[in-house]
Amino acid sequence: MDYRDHINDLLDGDLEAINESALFGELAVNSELRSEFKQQLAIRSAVQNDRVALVPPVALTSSVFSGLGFAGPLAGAAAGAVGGSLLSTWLPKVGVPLLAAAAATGITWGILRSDSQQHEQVAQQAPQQAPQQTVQQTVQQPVQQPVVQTGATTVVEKPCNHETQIAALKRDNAILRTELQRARTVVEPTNEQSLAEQNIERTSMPAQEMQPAQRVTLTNAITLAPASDQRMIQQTSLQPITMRSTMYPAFLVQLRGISTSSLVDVNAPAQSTWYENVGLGLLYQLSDNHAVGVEMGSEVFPMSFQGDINGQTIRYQQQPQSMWAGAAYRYTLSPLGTSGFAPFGQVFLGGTSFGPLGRATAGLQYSPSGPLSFILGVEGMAMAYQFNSSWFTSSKLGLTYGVAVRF
Amino acid sequence: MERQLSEYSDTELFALLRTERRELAFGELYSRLSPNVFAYCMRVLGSRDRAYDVFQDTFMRFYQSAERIEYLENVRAYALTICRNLCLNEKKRAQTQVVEFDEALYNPGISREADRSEMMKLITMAMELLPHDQKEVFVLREYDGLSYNEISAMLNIKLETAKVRVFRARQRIKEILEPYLNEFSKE
Repeated sequence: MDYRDHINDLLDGDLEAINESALFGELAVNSELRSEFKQQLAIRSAVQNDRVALVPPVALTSSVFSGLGFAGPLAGAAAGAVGGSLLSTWLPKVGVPLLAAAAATGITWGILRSDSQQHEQVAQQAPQQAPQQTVQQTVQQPVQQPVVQTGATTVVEKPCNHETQIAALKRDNAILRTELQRARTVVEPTNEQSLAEQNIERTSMPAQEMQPAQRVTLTNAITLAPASDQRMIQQTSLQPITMRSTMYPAFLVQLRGISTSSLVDVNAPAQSTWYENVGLGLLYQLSDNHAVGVEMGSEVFPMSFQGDINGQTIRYQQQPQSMWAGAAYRYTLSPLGTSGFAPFGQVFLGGTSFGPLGRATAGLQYSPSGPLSFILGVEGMAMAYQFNSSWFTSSKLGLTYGVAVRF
Repeated sequence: MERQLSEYSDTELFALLRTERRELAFGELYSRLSPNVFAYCMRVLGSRDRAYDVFQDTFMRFYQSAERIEYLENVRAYALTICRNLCLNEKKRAQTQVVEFDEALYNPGISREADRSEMMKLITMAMELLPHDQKEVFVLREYDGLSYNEISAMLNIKLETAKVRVFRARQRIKEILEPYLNEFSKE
């Protein structure tokens, strides 16, 4: 007795009661038959779920009804589904590159904004820093020049304490003045010698107190002329921006969308994700013309191949998505006049999870000002893959567009 | 009191296709028959685009046939017969068998339809490898729910032949999916 037939009849609902008890008796002791039964139940359950999921789409229903000239019970829903279908078809193609471009623009804007804020801060700080620098310069220069000329050793030994020394000298000068006044009132008019000595001291003191006074005056004179210094500092702070656009080597981060059509006839639906057909590259710009780098991305590859399996020729069609990565070289020509547009060509060699990948791109690069640039070009792609020891190729042709930031 | 269309039999609805109420009758018949026809197209042809074309063509011909057929006993079997003939023509037109791989083969973590389990996808793949005669009766039996008598009448084969083909199809699917089913039964 073949219990597999009984299992089959049980699944069909045709198993007789007498055979049902025999089958369950055997299932209780026969692990192999039990496994067979479980497997058949699993298949049946999966088929039932698949059957429930197989419902004609609203768009297809709409087509049937409109083909017969009927409005259709789901005309409104079908129209909505058609609109949704159009959205779902075009949104990944248009929306993702737009989203990527918007994100790149936002990042670039953030970088530029933070950069300009730094320069604004430098410009705002410049008037405050300039007098400090001039004070330091003016303090040092007048001190050194008089020291050499007058030989005032105290200034040389303690160059940083000029103000305190000046204040001390002023205090000494004030003390001497008061003491001199007191002496004039106390000293006898007959004491000519002592008066003469005090006069000598008195005449010599102004000479000592003039030196610090001259220094202060000189310092103030230089400090009061900051206008020209501010301009010089602002120009100096702007130099890095003008230098950046011509400084090499430089890095170029590029985000681009790829909108290509298959050159291979494939009817199978494409595997779709939100990040499909985009590329992210990092180029090392050696000069105005040459750049090398790496690039990676995700893309759908239409594949059509065939092979003999058990004497039967089977043709496979699929559009799987795969990550790709590789090395790129870009040659950029000189800009067209002052328009900011420059033609470029790029070659790429890399691989996917299926096989080697090559790309060739030609287009225009627009660099308005600063580190931001945009590209638009025509791109051809070919990927080779192997099935049953035979090589096949998947090729596409289309447009590429993106945004790049140089830093 | 007028009966609701949902209370009509398939035969009565088919007869209404020759009247002024043909649009409503067709809508009701479509809601009843379309799941069976769609499942047959999808699972027998294996190609979505081709299945859509055949599905649409089936209902066009089905509606047009009402002009020349006054009475039809088994409407569902008739619609499936139209569909089957169109599928056979389509398979003859395409010289080689086209297998569309499901994306789950390349990215098991991504599912186009949330309610489709991994097991369903594997069975769909296994069905593509069945001989056409086995696949056909398996779909009619498991997906469309036809009885063996209906299958034998529709395909013009013996009752036992229909049973044997379904049995062999089940065994063949089990053999193809043996490694997966073992893992499944362990869980």
